[in-house]
Amino acid sequence: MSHLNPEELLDLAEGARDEASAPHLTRCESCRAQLADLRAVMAAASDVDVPEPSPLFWEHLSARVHEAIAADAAPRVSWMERWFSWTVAVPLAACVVTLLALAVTMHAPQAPETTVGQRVSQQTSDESVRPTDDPSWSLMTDLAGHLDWDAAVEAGLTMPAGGVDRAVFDLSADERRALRGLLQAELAGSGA
Amino acid sequence: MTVVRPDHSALPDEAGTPGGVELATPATELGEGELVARCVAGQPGAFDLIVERHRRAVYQLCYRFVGNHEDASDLSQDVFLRAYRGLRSFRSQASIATWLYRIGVNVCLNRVGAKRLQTESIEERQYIDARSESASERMLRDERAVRIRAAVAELPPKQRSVLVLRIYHEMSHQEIATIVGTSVGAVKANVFHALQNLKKRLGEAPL
Repeated sequence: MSHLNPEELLDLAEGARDEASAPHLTRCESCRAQLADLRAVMAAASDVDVPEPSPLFWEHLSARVHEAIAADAAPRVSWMERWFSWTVAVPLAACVVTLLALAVTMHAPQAPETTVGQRVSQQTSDESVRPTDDPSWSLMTDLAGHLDWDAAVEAGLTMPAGGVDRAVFDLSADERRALRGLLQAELAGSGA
Repeated sequence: MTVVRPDHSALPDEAGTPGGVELATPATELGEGELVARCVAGQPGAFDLIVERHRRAVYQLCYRFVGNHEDASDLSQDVFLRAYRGLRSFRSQASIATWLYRIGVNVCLNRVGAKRLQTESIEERQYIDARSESASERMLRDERAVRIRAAVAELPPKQRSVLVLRIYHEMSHQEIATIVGTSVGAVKANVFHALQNLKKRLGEAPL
């Protein structure tokens, strides 16, 4: 004797199929019991409502959905826009300038060992090596030309307090004399 | 049992202006396809109307899955957000309700797989109109409802899906098969096993 299969039992329990179409039921107590159990549990389950939320809840839910959609539809900033925002671009430019300055310094042709004083004397007497004529200097001034003071300070490109004094103290006697001459010449040239 | 249907009682005012937005045709007369078309065209307020019509059914579906108000509320919001994002993929062969149920089932299945859910106790949410029954009858009914909700919420996800859609949303086996992406035979087998499991979980106590 083959019992009713799950699909047949469900159809009978849901009323999609008449019991008369399943004569097996009349002679099988097991299938009758299964069918009764299915009907009982279906009736019990279907009698359970979802607790009704507060009447204010529905408007609240609509408002939440509306806000979530508005937030979702707000224009998103692409990674390119984020990268080129001023908060990133300014420090980035400062880093590039620093790196370029380092690269120029490291790759400059090594002159024979001279003191700073000798170099300064050479530079002031040689018009062809003025900073404005140096292409790497021009590149640096172009890159840093739009950098404002606050951004430069943030990027650590400024001299720390007392830095100039310490540099002067570190000069040798010859170097200090050369520096003094250079400053006097500059003052005289500016008419001060 | 309350059968869940789209909530047309929550439609906008007589002027057909949901959320104060002017629509050329009164909102109550808009068909589903037209409503979706207006949403896709960016008509403000059109999607609000879909939410208003279906929020109760979606919330109840979610509640049946998770058994508590907080999660059901969050999930309902998620269902509508996903529906909005996927509006362009909506095909008018299916009803909006069926489409929302499909999204709802997926959202709920993802959630129940991701976290252990806490069903509510008797004391937590009681807004049932109890004027026609005595206090003791009401208490017994509430206790039984809590037991059954908890037992439903503990069913394996697939069985839970088909049982909720079949018993509480009165969907046909074919509609359920479309929503959960399986055959009618598999849906029937799952409903059968869900009912058997439910019986087992509820034990010998009278139903």
